Amino acid sequence: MALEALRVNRLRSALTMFGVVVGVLAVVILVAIGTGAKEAIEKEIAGLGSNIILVVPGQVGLGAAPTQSRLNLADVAFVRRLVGDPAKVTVAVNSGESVRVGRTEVFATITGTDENLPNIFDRPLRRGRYLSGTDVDTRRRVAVLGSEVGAKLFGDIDPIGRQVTISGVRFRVIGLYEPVGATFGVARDQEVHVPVTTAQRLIGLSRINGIAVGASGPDEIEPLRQRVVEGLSGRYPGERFSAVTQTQLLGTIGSVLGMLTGVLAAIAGISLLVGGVGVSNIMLVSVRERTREIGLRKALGARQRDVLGQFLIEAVLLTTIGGVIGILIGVGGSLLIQAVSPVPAAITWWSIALAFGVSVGVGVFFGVAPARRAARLDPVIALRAE
Amino acid sequence: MNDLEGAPAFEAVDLARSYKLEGVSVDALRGVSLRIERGEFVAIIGPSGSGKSTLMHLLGCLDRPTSGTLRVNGVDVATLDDTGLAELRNQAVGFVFQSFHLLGRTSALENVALPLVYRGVGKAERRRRARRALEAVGLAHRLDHRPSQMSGGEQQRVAIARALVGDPKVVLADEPTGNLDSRNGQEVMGILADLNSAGGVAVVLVTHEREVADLARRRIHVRDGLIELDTAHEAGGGPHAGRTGRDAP
Repeated sequence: MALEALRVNRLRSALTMFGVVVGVLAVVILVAIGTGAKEAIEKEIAGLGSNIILVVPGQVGLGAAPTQSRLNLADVAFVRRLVGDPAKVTVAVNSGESVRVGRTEVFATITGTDENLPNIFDRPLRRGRYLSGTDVDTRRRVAVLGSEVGAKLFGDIDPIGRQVTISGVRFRVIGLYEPVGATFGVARDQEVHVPVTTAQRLIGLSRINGIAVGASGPDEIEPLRQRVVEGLSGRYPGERFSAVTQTQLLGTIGSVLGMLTGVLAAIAGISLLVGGVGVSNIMLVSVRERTREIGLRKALGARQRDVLGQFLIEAVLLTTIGGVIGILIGVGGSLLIQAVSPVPAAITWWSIALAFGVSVGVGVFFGVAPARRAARLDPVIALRAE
Repeated sequence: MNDLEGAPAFEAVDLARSYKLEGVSVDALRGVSLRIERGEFVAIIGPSGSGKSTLMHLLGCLDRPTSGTLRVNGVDVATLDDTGLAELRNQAVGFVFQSFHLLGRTSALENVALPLVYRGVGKAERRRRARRALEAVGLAHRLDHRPSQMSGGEQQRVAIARALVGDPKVVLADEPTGNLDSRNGQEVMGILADLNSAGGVAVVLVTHEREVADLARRRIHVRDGLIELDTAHEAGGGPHAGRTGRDAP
């Protein structure tokens, strides 16, 4: 019966539905993009490895300027003693340098580190081996290439055992990493890892940029973090040190992105609201047009709740059909966005359930006023209407 | 529904109805008392504006009196809420309107079945009873036709079938021949007369046409909101003709 009424005015029903379709579509797509972005970043953070604490000098926060480092290798030894397990502490000193093979030259991040790096970070090797303790102790000129650097310099040729020139100094390639992608805009596939001692000499620094500590379990992270920060602060009175954990990063970024998703959903919700007003408007017109029909139905014994139900079902049907169409297009659109653009989009069941629930709710909410008007019509007056 | 067996179809005492039209009170009915037994064939006649339509609406429970008492099948309508009135309309009364009032996009069968929808009758049973009602008015061959595909006479017969489908005690017909030519008008009146004589259903007819009214066994003349003549009494003026100052109970 309700479907029949909607079919009578195909164009009008379609246009009314369009408002709901657009609203639901917007909710589904925008939430998918927001969620996709969040998931992508969380994956990046988790991809670093597990239970990592990054210790850097100064204060870390969004918008804080990087601080000149005062940390050196002696501090690394100190932290190793503090942590108790030397294998769970590694180091990083970074510098951008040119790397050359014959006439091919690429710009890469040279990272000085040590043999403990694979104990803490997830950096699977494709070929060759990691840096060893001996490499670090004897200041060997050996390098492990990031996948992109390797591909650019050597193409399909196996680089192991070959020579690369890093800012004029020759290094022997001992390993090649698997691609791991980027974290916070740091292209980790464009790194070249060399022994930290070799790197300090190459760059001409005795400092290091940061220390990474691997905790043995999630519960160990917080006490370990405090111990390291307090230890270093005791060593350098008046200086600040920060230890950032993945949980903190996830928490901060998660809340920012969650907020963003919420704002996007709210904007989309407004268009859904506008669609709902359209439904209300059309239902009022429909009630006016069908006044005689309502009068007749009441004369034949329709109770107020029968008439109310009839118009409410019509409104809900209108928004529900619109909602389902919107969800289908929204899911299709999200998949399309994910397939053809770099924007990540993740469809979540809750956004679909929400969109569906809201479109049904919009039908009820905006259908009630017209339906009540219909239900309360005086049958005598309604029958006389033109 | 407290349907009292043997109670008159309608029993009205001092029925009055006034409207407010732009702040001015208009008395459409000024105190009408009448009694219509089951199985009667009554015509309510009067010029336009006499109050006959208002009386019809009150008898059909489409409207409530301003004052006075109305009992339909022995049930005082003042004791019923809107839902109760709707149920009474559905069960006790069948309506036939001057302008047919059929749903335009629905088949004859579905139009006829409509009152049963509000009685909660299942679809198969609705269709069975609607078909029987249409057969009774000679439209067995028109079940799936829409109103626009039928003549005026046929449409009014569909409307009569719809009034009958719920087995009411009374059929109220408001100018049932008003929109029909004389041949179709006669046919419709014939059906109503058969219904009354063969089916025992009371027929109450509102008309301003003398010839139509003459078909009824009893005629009630209404003028200026009062009963001017009721042939059941064969006396000038109804038993309760005259204004009463009584308020609604």
